[in-house]
Amino acid sequence: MAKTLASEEAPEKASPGEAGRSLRAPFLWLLGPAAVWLWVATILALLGSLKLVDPRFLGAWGWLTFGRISPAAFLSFVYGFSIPVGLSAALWAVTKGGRLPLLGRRWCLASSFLWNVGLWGGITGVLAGESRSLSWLGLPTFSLPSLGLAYLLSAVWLVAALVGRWEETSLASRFLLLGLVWIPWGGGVAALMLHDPAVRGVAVASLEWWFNDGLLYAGLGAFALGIVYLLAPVLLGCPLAFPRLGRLAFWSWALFANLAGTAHLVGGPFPLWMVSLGVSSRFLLWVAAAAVGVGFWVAARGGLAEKKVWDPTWHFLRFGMISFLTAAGLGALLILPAWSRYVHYTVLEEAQLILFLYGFLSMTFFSLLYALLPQVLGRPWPSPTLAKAHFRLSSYGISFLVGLLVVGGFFQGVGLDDPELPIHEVIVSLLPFLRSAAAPAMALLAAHAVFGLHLLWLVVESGSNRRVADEVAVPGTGMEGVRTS
Amino acid sequence: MTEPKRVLLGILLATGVGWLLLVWMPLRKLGPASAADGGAPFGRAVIGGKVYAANGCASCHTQVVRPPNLGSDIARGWGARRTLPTEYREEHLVPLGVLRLGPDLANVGERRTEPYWYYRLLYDPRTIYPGTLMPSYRYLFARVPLLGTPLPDSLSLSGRDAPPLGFQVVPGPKARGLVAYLLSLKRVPPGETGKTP
Amino acid sequence: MTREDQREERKQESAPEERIPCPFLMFATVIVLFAGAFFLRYSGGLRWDVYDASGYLAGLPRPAAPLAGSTAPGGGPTQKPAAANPIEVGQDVYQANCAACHQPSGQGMSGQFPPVAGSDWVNGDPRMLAAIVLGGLQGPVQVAGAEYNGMMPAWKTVLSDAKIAAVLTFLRQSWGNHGSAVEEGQVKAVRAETADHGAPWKVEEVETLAGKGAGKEAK
Repeated sequence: MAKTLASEEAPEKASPGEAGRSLRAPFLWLLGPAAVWLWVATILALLGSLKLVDPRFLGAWGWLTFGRISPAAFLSFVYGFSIPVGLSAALWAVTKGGRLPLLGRRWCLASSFLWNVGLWGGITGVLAGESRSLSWLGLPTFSLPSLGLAYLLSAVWLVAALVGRWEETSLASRFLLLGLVWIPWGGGVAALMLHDPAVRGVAVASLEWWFNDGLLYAGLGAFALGIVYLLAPVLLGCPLAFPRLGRLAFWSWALFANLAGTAHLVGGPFPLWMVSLGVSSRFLLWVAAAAVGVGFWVAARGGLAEKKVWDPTWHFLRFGMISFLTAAGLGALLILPAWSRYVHYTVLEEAQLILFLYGFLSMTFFSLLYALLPQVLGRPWPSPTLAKAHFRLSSYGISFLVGLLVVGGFFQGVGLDDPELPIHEVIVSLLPFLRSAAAPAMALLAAHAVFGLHLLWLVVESGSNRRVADEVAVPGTGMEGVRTS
Repeated sequence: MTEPKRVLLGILLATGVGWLLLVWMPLRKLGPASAADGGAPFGRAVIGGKVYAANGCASCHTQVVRPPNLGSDIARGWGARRTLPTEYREEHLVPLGVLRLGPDLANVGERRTEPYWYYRLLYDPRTIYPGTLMPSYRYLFARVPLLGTPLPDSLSLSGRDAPPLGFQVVPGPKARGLVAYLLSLKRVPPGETGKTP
Repeated sequence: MTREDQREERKQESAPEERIPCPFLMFATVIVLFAGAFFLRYSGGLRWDVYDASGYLAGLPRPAAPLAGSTAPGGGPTQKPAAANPIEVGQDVYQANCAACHQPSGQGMSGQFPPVAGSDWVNGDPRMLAAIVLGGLQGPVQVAGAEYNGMMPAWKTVLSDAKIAAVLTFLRQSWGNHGSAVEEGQVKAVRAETADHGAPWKVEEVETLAGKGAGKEAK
């Protein structure tokens, strides 16, 4: 094993190797539907944004009421896009870019099918009014068995392979393992408890927030950090600096991501220590994030001098890291009770969430896709211009969206704190910001449209000159993406 | 034990710590008086609570009154005191909420006691609050033929909203449940006058 | 993993390790210390019945009146409202700390937590009442004609004398109770007197405090 296990766990950038080809089918099965779900999420988010411009827009239709499409948008982003991309990162890592076999590879197909069927039903259920309104736990009951089974079908093999092929020094495997293990642990327990009639009272809310922050930080955040560690050696020519610090950061991340959730419950019906534990954990998560960030920047300073060509992987990754550090800092600072009285329940908190979801997670995921897909499909991305357009549109879109919400949230918070000002007027003063947010939402939709077209182009092009045996798989996978839309 | 197994175990334990501290212990200490389903709320308000959750009311409304040092909730008259776990002790639905694009509803049944007002609001919020962000929930209402005198809770609508001749608009079962739920939101206990206007 | 790779990684691992940037170390130290201190300061004694905190980082209370609050300096605005109206302060303290068990209505929970409304313990000798709140109470107790056998935690580490006085005044003058107001000085005296009493009180012990035996269970 020692010899076949080539040292770099990340892809060789320059030569689209033959090895990656073996991952073609599982990758397309995972990522094709993911791209479609990204679209669904963006369209739903844009619809929600337009409803804030005028609530009467498509108003009479219950399926598209704001309270249903806005959770549906977040859910399809997280479960449709983020988790499959995280799984494909793990798949790439454990097979060393397709050079090693994965025992359960053939189950990927079944897993992806079950996952998308379950999610399709789940999101439809949310839109039809079957949700229990529990943020990330909001998927209706009937979709859960299929989702859980699908996740286990692929994750079990990945975890087994990750543990079997462990590398002492690899922080990427640690973070990916955290993501792979946390999601079934947290999700399974949360789903079971929520269906137990004995679980009542405020513990339902703390369960909800334990899961929310765990999913965001220890689940998806760990996937994205694993991707950062996976891509850095390729991009920067060396792994991230300070591995020992990184390991420390990993353990604090794993622990405090589980405790941070109660920070949302400031002022809520919870004992003081629970809230303070959440607040302190948010600060410690910030330190862990900064530890990863400092390793990243030190490595980047050394390794990046000779980069001349515009490289989408690097740009997306850098944007992701900046968002990550900002979101972690905001997450800690906003939650401090001294000013959470002004910012709690305002769109400022929404801005932090969006920065984490779209700025960090999605940008890092795109970076992974830009790096890996050429090797998996044996083709470079057809058009650098489209990649650049994708980056520009999404980076401007995210920055403006977050900026508008931050400023708007500040006004909203100050207004809410003044008891003389009726709530109606506070919200009316917030309206200009919410309405202008439709423009960046539009830009994001355009960015994801550009990405989707680019991806389709790449897939079609790579399929056009393949051997006959593979040709069957290509339209099939393309079709699958279309079907789940 | 090899290192990967240790890491795996460490991850499982770290997650377990979070679950123990933030889920299990609160459930024991602040949860229902007994594990049996007995104390849980029942009736139309429960159906209404499901409607509240399904339509994402919690996207814009909270149900938490924060203490005076953490916000103006009490000064706004949203409650006489901060929310305590006892108020949710037996409830399956704990919609504390994330965002305030509308007023807090923890005690809305105390402030507004007239069902008809809620029906008006849900049917067309702009007749009560012009320019509001609140969407209309008219899909929770039904248009039924008008036979004889209008039903007691049929909405009197005019202008564009008016139903055609021979019809009336009445709240559907979901709207009735939702309003029953909202009316039941009185977390200020009896015997306590409080500062609510 | 080949030998070269290991050496290479070793090199990369050890070389930059020594040069963790100083600003990061300072930042990390400050934040970690802050997070630890914050949790210790606002842990509420890890108790399930402590909900509120005061102080800068826990959020300053809303100024009572606009003219008083507009220029309130940082120093001691937390103490301001205490001077305002003991009943109101006491109500806030009660709702935040006591209502979880004794219920917001003061009726308690039958069989588990005794009522404070209509209780002779509340209406009786303020010194005994203050001692119970300060030190807690354990074991069987007869309240309003019913037997309770539970454990009330001590509040002396959580609540100041002024807050205890306010909440006692509130208790004694609400829900049909008609006791006298309790001054901060009285609580302070009881606190000093019972300082060496560690464990929660038993009913017999606390009754010795009353001395004159005034205001006993008259049932």
